[in-house]
Amino acid sequence: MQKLYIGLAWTVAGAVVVQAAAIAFAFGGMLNLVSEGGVVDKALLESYQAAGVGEPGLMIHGIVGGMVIPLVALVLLIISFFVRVRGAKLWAAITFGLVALQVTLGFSITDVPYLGLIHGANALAVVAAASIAALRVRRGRLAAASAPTAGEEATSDAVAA
Amino acid sequence: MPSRRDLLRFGAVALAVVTALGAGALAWSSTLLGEYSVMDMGAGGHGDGANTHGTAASGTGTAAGTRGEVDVTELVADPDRPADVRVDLVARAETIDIDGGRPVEGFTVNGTSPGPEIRATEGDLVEVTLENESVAAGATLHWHGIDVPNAADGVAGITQDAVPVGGRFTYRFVAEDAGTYWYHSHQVSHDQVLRGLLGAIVIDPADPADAHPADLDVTAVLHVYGGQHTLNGGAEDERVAAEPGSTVRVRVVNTDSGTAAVWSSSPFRVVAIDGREVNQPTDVDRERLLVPAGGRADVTVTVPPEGSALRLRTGGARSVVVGDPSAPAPSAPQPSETLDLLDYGTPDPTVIDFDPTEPDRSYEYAIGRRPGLIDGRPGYFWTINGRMFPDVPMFGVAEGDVVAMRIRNDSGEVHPMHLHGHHVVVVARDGVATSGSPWIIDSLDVHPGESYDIAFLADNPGIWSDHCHTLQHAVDGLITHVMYEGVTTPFTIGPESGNRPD
Repeated sequence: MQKLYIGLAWTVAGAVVVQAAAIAFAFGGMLNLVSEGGVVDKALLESYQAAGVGEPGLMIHGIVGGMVIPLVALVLLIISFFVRVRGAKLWAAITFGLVALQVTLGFSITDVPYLGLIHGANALAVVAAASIAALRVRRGRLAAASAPTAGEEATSDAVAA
Repeated sequence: MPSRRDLLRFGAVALAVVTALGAGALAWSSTLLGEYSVMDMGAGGHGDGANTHGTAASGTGTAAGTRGEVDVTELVADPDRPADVRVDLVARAETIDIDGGRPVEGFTVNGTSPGPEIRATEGDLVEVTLENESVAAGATLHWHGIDVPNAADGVAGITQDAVPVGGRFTYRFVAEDAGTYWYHSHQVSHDQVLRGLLGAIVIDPADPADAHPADLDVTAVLHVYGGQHTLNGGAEDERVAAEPGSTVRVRVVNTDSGTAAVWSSSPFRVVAIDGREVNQPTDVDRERLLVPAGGRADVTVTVPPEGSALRLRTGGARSVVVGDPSAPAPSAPQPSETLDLLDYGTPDPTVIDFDPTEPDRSYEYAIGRRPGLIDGRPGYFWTINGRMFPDVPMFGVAEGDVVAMRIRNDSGEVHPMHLHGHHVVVVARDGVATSGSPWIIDSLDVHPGESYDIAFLADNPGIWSDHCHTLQHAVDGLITHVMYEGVTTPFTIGPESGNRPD
């Protein structure tokens, strides 16, 4: 369970990196399209065939951000109830909460562009929370493994306490 | 050797996982639509009495009343009347040649996309036969903006079965209202419209004096093919040679799924919206007109003096250059201000033949968004009055009703809302009443946070789709129906019939 927890937490953190890369690629592609005389408007975006270099970036950002990360964060939260390391549940919950906020912000940017300022900053908070979650449980695991006597779960409880 | 405590814990976890998976599978399978009829969707809020402000009731049960039933296939134009205009259209899956651009794989009508422009005169009986030569998923033709009899509305699974390869279907309707309209497939429309199964249809007024005077009349069909913005099928600007001082009417047809902006290097006038003439339009200068997805706008420009031309931007990427064909086209920077049609033109109380302020039924159409499953597919879907497809409300009406509707957009994206078979009067936006020309539409952009009060006369019995014309949004649940009491459909939507209207 702990291994799974750690894996999921790192997946969330890693996926945020993918998100940053994808959106930068998408905007680069869009600027490239415009610089070559192309026009980006609602008709083009809704046609799902922007034909620019960066279009896969937009798709990846949408799928990973709207689907993959929320699902992984949700599974992380569920798994956290079976991980006996202090703070595992708390950090999974914080990660999930930040992801929920992030998705809401993402879907609201078109209407309120200023939310983009928070969306970008909150992405870093998601990475930090997911990383802390992974590192905490990893530390708990290592401590348990190095303790020679008592049962694994009991030890990790003791260490965490 | 695991301890008893561990075994117990693993047992509990396994039980929880199995229960969760079972519940999840059950919840998932309950969203599967299979083969369904729109008759079984939602429930008509047809019990709303005069002046009550009920939201459309929803839940289970039969939608429309069941007494004195009329089949949608019976709602036809006079079968004994001979056609005045007869057109044969052949739909094909093939390569579309784009003048000035690169060819794309898509769908054509009589070998081109856009298909041929159909021209008729007000009062004509139009008869169009669609033959599907090679569109594998089947095809239909919907007459966007024309208040056709229900049997000719062309919505697969509601008013007909999609026409299979090798099949034919004949559409008959009286072109009762002059104006600019378009036709497009309403089978897998998010794909078939996007890839070109469309064309323009213009109904000229029986009495030319009924339209704003113009010396030249041109159509500007906008469409994006494979990322290429086109004007009448060409990825290039169009030149219109015209005499100085003359008036040119440009009929802009937005066949895309997003709003198009129209503006000009010289002042222009908006003379018609969605086929309805604007009363006493004034010059629009340094403002842009927004045409919703599926919407049309006719604008007039006055040709500048000898040796010069003006540029009318249609949809941001393309222009119609009007005037001296050899003159350089002036630039036309995009204005930052948008023309507000709420107070454009002059009121004319004679145009609307019902009282929108005294509705027989009032409905709310509130658009939201939330995660969920539609047909087993997870996503972030649109909701109508908080409910997700297919559990959305149906709007029940009786013939002769004045129907008021408040469309409210609580989501973060614009929605071009389109009602089939009717023209709708805009009464107010965000509580502010219209103060210009009667604003009569069939496609209306509702921006985030906005609410529109609209009204229409229920004078065209049938089952009519009422959906977002950003066609992917309709796939993602932003579609419901106005259903007349006593009207039924034998058609169904789903894998068995192959009908997929969105």
